[in-house]
Amino acid sequence: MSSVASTMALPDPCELDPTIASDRNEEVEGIDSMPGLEDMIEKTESAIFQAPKENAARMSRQANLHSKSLKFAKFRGSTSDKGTWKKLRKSFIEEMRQLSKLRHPCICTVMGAVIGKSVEPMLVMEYMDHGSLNDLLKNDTIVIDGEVILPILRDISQGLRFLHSANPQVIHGGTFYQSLSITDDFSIAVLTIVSR
Amino acid sequence: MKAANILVDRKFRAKVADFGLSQKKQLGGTGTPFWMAPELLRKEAANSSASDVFSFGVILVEVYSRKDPYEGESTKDILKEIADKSIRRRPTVPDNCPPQIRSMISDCLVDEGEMRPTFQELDTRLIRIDAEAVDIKTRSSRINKTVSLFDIFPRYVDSP
Repeated sequence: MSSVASTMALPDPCELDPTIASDRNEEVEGIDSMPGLEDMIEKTESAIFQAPKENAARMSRQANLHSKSLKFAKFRGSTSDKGTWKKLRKSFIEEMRQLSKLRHPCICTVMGAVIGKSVEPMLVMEYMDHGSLNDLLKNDTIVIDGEVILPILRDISQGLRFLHSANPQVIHGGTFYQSLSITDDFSIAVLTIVSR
Repeated sequence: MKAANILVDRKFRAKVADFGLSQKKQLGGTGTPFWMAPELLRKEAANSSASDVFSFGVILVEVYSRKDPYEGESTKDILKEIADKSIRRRPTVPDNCPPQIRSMISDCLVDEGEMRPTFQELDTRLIRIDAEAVDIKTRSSRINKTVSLFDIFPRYVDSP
């Protein structure tokens, strides 16, 4: 697992904002230049939690199957004042612990999270070669026929079926859109962190 | 949930990512909530499994159009129209969409959350469909079907 540490940010909405995107690239480069993932995790003030043993075996198998590298998904956190930062940090760790317990072949496994002093919180996830479905659909060189798309659609519905029947139930869009504040005339206001 | 949150591995199998995150800073105008269910836009209901089903419907449209929903139109107007019960604006389903998927889209995009199918139901419906039925009929694939080797290389020897 330690072989390659690929740094790749989730194609997040922040991708659309050129200023954020450039800022993100800088940080990603910074991580890249570090000796390795393990070192980085040790050096930074980090929050890595151990998965239960039986899950760990499955996790490593899964990681080997798909790719040996890890994926970093960027997470934008607030660093405004110390009190809220501490609180957010605590709930972030708690939440990551919950998310890492969710395992299903159609769910992108969350293996851990990194909270650093200089870097913004990140998620360590499985590496997915083809990026997001959005990238795939926008790539005109890829012919997508029924034999490609049907398994993908089934995977999405199975993944969500799993999330919806999990205990406690996980709603995918849920928390993401909770943090959106939409004014009455449907213009989207600048959003702030919302914690449950 | 949107197509950008579905990740695809090297075997072209999809995995759902970015689920259940409660702390996420978004900046104005970047996260366009076209995938949001109308009841959320009207602020009538909190997020539920039904709102995920709505997003899945929008993803189905994305898959077949290979474009962002409502491309090139004003976000503000569209959101207003999606939420309005008398207009019920929804993304236009492209013509290349097979009938089974078309009916699935219209079921997912129903205005009332309780009327939408669950993922359990969608799952069984998707399993019943076979791959040929959901082929995306693009112009290029149609061209490929009509062009034969004989159109490019003339046949010199007639078959008896």
